Amino acid sequence: MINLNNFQINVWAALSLLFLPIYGTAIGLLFMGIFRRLSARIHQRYGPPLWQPYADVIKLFSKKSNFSHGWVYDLGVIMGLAGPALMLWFIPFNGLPNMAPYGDLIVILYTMVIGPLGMALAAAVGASPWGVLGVARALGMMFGYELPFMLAVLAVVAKAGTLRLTEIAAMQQSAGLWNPSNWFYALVPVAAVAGHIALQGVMGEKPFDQAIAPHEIGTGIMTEFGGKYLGMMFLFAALNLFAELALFSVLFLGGGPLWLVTLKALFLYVIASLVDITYGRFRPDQAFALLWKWPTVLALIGLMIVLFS
Amino acid sequence: MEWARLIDKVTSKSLWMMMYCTGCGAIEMPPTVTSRWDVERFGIMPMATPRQADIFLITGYLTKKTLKRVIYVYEQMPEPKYVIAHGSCPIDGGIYYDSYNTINRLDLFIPVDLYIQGCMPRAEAVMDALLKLREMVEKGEANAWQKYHENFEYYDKNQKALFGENWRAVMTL
Ligand code: SF4
Repeated sequence: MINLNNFQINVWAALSLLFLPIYGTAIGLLFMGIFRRLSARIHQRYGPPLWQPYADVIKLFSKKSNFSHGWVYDLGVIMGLAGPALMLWFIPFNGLPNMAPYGDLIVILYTMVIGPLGMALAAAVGASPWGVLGVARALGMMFGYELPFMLAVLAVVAKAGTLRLTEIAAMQQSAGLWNPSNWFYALVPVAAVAGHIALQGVMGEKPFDQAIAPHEIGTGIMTEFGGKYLGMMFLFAALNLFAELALFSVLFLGGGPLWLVTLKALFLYVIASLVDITYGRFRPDQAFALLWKWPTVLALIGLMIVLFS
Repeated sequence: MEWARLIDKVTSKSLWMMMYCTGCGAIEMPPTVTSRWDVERFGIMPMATPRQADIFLITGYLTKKTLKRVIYVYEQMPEPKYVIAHGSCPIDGGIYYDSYNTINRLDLFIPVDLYIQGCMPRAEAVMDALLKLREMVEKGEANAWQKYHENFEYYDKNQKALFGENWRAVMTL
């Protein structure tokens, strides 16, 4: 426990806290590169090289003119980047000291909202009607996917009997790191499938990408962002992507050391990308109805199975 | 200086373009960006809004009405920015040279980096221009955007001569 009286400066832990967001961003950008390559191959194109997103970010940060819309705009962008970093600090990775023992699932589910909210704040003061429309859609979608996602998480919590993510991860690894028989995807499969569908909405991939919706509403939240601000948006998207995937793999796929979680995240992301590439975009009302119908009902059934068995 | 070279090199690998598609040339854009020619393998990607774009591709003739929008969009793009004029219409008027409501030369109003001649240029020509622009950016030669600062009086004078003295105040988008 953190005790200010005999607070020890733990250099290793501090370094690991510093390292995690940087690692998450780098991996998230790599995932985006993989996604662009994958979608190109499916379209029968060659596609950009894997390091394309890194070049994009460097270019965006080297732009000579950057348009700001006041201090809320600046702060919102920073808050957006801080949210997923905080979330990553609370996710347990074997052998990596971070803040996971000091927070539980409730904290993580709250930190999940900080990042998108920061970006929404920046987009809302950005004076672009498309941006405001994107924010409205993003908030609506948030209501849509949080219900099934929370219910799926609740099923895990009911099964595990604890809110502590460290214990949930340890419980799944009790049969061995590579043995999936104790993973919650196997123990509460119905709820896990519901959570998986909701994850698509959490990540904002098609068919749930109404908040960005390129060429429909400009690019939604991103419409007014350019130069460094768009660069920050990219870093946020990358970090947020990795944090969400890591959370899901720790919750349902057993977690493990950082490299293993990264591999599991990649596996989840490739599935999500394939769905993204093959689906079109739903209308906001259709997407909302879909999220509150199938995954929610599935998650409820999963929860019932856990509670009454 | 070395640092700037490095940045130029990276920038040339990632150019996002915004296409202004009111002219006939719009029809050449789909083959350029989709699986036929696939410019994305060079890091060139179509973007939806001016704030995100580096390249401004003007595909064909500009009327007095659309030129105003083009100037506004150009000014909204973050620097460095590059303009490609596609087709003969923005170069010298093309077949609309004597029309009552199109302009004949784009570079009187905003600085242009590259011209693609032809009526209309095929997707191969667009690819060629994009690769040429990429080379220019890498060498630090695509500097037309600086002219808009240095010679703003010139561009402003031409804009005002065409649209009237206080067109910016009068215009609503
Ligand atoms: S150059 Fe030819 S094809 Fe292009 S806009 Fe003009 S008339 Fe149309």
